[in-house]
Amino acid sequence: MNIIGFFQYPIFLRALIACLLAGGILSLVGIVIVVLNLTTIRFALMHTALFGAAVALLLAFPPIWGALVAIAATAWFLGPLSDKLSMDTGLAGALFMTGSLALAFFLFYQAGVPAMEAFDVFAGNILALTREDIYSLTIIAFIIALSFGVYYREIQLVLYNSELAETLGIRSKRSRNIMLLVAGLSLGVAMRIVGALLVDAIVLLPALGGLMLGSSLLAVAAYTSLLGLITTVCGLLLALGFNWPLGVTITLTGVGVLFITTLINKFLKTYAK
Amino acid sequence: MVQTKKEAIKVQNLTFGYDQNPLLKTLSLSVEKGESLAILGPNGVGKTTFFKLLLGLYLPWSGEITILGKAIVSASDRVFARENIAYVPQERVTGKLPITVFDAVLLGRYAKGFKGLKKPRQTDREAVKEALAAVSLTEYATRDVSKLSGGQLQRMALARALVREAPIILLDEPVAHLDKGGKEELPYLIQNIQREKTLTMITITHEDINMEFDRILRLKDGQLKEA
Repeated sequence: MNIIGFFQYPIFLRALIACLLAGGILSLVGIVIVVLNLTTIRFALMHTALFGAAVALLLAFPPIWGALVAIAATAWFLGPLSDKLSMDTGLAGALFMTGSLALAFFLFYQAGVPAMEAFDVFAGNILALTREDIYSLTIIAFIIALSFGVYYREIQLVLYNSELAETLGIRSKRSRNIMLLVAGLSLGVAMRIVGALLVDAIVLLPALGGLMLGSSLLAVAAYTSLLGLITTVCGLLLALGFNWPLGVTITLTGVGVLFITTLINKFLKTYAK
Repeated sequence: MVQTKKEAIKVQNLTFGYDQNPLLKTLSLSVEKGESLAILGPNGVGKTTFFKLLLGLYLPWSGEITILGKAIVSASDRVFARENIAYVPQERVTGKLPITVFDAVLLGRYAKGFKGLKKPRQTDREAVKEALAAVSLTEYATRDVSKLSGGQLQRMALARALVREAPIILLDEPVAHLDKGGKEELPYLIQNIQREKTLTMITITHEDINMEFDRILRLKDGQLKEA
C-alpha cells in the first residue's frame, strides 16, 4: 500500500490529524517549559500520572482518566504551592515527583494494584487513538492557539521578565499558573500519542530548535510549530513507509530535526560574522 | 488627607512588613512634581518594598498613599498608579527568550494599549525610536538584549520607562553592578532626562551615586530621615 492509501483508514487518518495538531500547536507549550526552566516539572507530572493511574485502578476506573486528573491537579497546584512555601517551582516539582512515586508504589504493594497496568499509561500509541482522543486534542490545541493569540503580549512579558510584567499590571504568578496548567494538560495529551517517555519529541525538541532560530517570540513560535510539524508528520510517514515503531520513529525524527537545526544555526551564526 | 496640586506623591503613616514583622513603620513622604529625590539605605531596609507599595503591588498594613491627587485604595486606583509610575528595575536578562532591544523597549507601551498580537502603531514606533535616541542606544535597536553590557541594559530599561510617558519614574539601584564607566555615565544621562522632561523621579540606592538630587533621604528603622 502506498503512503496515501494508509489515510483512507480512520486509524491512520486520526494519527495524521493528531500529528498535525500536536506538532503544530502542542509544541508551543515547550517554549514556556524551556524559557521558564520547568523541564524538571514534566517528570513530576509523569510521576503523578502514575499515582493517578494507580488510584484509578484501585477505584476500578480506566487508568488514563486517573493519570490525566492527576496531571491537571498537579499542574494546577504546583505554582501556588511553590509560592506558598517560597520554593522554586522546579523544586516543588521534585517534591511532587518523589512523593507521588512513593505513594504509587505504596498502592502497588499494600492495595495490590497491578503495577504493569498503571505503567501502561506511559506507553502511548498513536494508532490506538479514538475519536474522543482527537476531540480532546483539538480542544487543547484550540485553547493553546487562542491563548497565544489573545495573550501574546502578556506571555512575552512574563517570559521575558516576570517582575517587569508585574509592574505593568500583569498578574504574572497567575499567568504562570495558567501556563503550567495548559502545559500539564498538553503533556498529558502528548503522552497518549507517543507515550510519556517519548513526550519530549513533541513538546521540548521543537521548542529548543525554535529558540535557536527565532529572534522574537513570534518567530520562535513559528519555527517551533514548523519543526514540530516536520517531526511528527515525517516521523509518521517514515514509520508507515518502513514499518518502523511509531513513537520511537517520531522521537528519532525529532532528534534528527534538532540536530539539523543546530547545524543550520551554527552555519547562520558563522555566516553572519 | 490634603494633597496640594504641586505634589506628585504623598505618603502618610505607611506601615508594611512581611510575616508580622514591620519593615516600614509609619513612614511619611511628600514629593513635589518635577522633584528629583534619592533614598539611601543598605540592602534589606525596605527600599524596593516601598517602591512596590507605590506601584500598588503590595497593600499597606496601614497608612495612605496618594498619587497625583488620587488616593490609592481600590484595584482601579492601583491601575491608575501603575499607569502614572514607570518603574526601572535592575535590568538583567532573566530568561532564554530571544528579544531585540527595540522589542524589549516596545514592551513598555503595554500600558498604552499595545497588547495581543497587534502590530505596533506608528506612535509606538516613534516613542521607542525617540527613547532609544535619548539613551544613545539607536544603533543597538536590532541587537538581542543578551548581547548588551550591564550599562546598556540599564539604559534600555530607562528607555522602556520613557516610552510609557509616565510623569513619575522610580529607579531601583540604577548603578548597581555597573563598571566604573557606567557608574559615571548613567547618572549623568538620567539627570539630563529628568531635567529636560521635568519628571518626578525617585532613585533608591545603597551606594554613592554621582548625581545631583533636589533632596536626599535615608531609610532607617522603617522611616525616612534627612540624610
